[in-house]
Amino acid sequence: MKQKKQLFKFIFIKKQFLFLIFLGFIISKGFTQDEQSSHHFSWDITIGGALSSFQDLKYSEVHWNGGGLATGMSFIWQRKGIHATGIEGVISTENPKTFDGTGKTKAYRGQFYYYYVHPVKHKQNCQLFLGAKIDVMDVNWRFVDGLSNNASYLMYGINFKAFSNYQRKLNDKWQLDAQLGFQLFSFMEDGNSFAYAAPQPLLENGDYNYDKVQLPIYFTPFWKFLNIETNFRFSYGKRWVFSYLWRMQQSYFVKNHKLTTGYSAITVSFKLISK
Amino acid sequence: MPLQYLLNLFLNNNKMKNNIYIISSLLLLGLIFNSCEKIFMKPNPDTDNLSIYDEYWKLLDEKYAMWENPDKNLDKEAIHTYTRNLVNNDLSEDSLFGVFNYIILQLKDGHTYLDDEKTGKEALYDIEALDDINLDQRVVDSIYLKGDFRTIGSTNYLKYKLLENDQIGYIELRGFGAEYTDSEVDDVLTYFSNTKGIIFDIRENGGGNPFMAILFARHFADKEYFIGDEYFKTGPAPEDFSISKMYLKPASGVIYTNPIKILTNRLCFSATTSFIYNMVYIPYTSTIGRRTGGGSGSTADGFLANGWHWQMSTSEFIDKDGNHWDNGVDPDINVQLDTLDRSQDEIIERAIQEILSK
Repeated sequence: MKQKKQLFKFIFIKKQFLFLIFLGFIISKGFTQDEQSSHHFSWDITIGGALSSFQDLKYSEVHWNGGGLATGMSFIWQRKGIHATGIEGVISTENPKTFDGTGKTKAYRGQFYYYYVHPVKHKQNCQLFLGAKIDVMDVNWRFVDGLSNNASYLMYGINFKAFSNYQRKLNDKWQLDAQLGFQLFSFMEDGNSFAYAAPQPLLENGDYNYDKVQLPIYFTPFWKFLNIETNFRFSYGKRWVFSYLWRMQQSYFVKNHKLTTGYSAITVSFKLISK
Repeated sequence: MPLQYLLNLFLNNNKMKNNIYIISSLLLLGLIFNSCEKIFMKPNPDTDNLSIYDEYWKLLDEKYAMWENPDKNLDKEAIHTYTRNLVNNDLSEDSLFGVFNYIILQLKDGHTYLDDEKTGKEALYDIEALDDINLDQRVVDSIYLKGDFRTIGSTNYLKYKLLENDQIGYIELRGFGAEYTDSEVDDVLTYFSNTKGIIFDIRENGGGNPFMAILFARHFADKEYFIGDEYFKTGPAPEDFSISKMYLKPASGVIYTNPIKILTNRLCFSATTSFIYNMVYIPYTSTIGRRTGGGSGSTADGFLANGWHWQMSTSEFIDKDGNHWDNGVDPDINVQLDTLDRSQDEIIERAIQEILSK
């Protein structure tokens, strides 16, 4: 119930998310007005498999590894630059590496993003785009069997990344988009502090109380929250995209006690609309 | 040969050759990045006896919040030196567990324990053994509730009814595990609006969700009360604590301000202790029964590298008068239950007498 309340507040109360969605919309409108009329638009749905891993040095050096389902949906429109927005999610089951029989973990990772990349270099059949990406909502939510207070673990944030897209036409049918994103800064919350299931800055500031669930987010520069993503998208014809995606993040709110998590996913996407 | 034909086709076509180089490079890059996050992780720990002991001791040393609690009188270094010398890699699993059990007994803290789900072994400080139970539920059911009571929420955890010709409200709550809302508590207190006082029977209430404990307490607060400080462990060094000031704020709904008698025993523990220490500064509240069980700290839990599950107190509450609550506190009025007399519950009877005599 506490977790449900947390999610409810997280989704519906954070005004920052709404503001950023609005900001993304304004940015996209601004870019759109400058661009030429010929364009490409697609709407795709994605499914695939993922391998994931997790380690939180605040509590243990044991790795949690596993696999699961990757899914998502995106809208991409390209005129001169590329705008894209979408959601991605990975649901995986992870197990501890050094023991069995307990500690099985359901891990939910999800992003709701927007990016814009602008063409900076064009050469025959390839093109380089540079721009920015906002993970308007980046969630890591875990449920660990066998634990009590630390059974549920929530980390979420709004990430601002430098983002690039190298696009290359391989032949008449195939096109490659190789993407790389690197975190610049973030506003995030890590639900587990050094020794309690509450955010570390909340405790350090002396702001914790038992009156209500508090989910504050804190400015976090990239040296405290490293977040990298790569995505190789091979588009075939008008309808199909085959991708290899890797995301990792490493954060710390307590010195020398880093939390590292990531996943790789191989997916296939079908474009419901491609024009 | 078809294979040779295909290879020639690729290799003689410059554009295709170029593409193959690019795709191969990217696939190689992909393979390098595959589970690359593990490069950023520390290696998995060892699981031999000494490694497990050192892992557990490090957790206790860095996270346990009550090493300096004066009621516990702990000598950390002596415990470490003694127990570390008992451990070697030839020790059986049971013996290693026994060493941890010894450590846990020294802490005298019901929140701090170790268990092994595979074997069912548990190492814990048993607060039940510290006193008689001082509650006979059969007596409460047959003499006071008589099967005629009201409840709120989806469970029967909370029972309430009017006693003594509707002069006294009686609430029985044996756990703070269920979820309640302010409006449900409003319903109970509205039902008791014409009473002279309330008996809040939380004997054998082992705790649950501290947010629920506070939710109830707020309905008895006529104003804001500063109740004390919670010391949270925020880093590995012994002095790495943060302090959160704890206040009890009135609820926005019904507030009950007639006398409240809280019935306690040794099994009042954890969130129930939170409920009591939130209530004790309200002037029209008092406790009757036996010493409480403690469990005043918040807890964290996790797994050792061999799968044993640990839990420990990682914060400590100290009230505004400087009292530590983890080993329990005595009630305002000490009353022992006579278990041989099943015609009444002496603790409830004393509470009735206290309310009606005002």
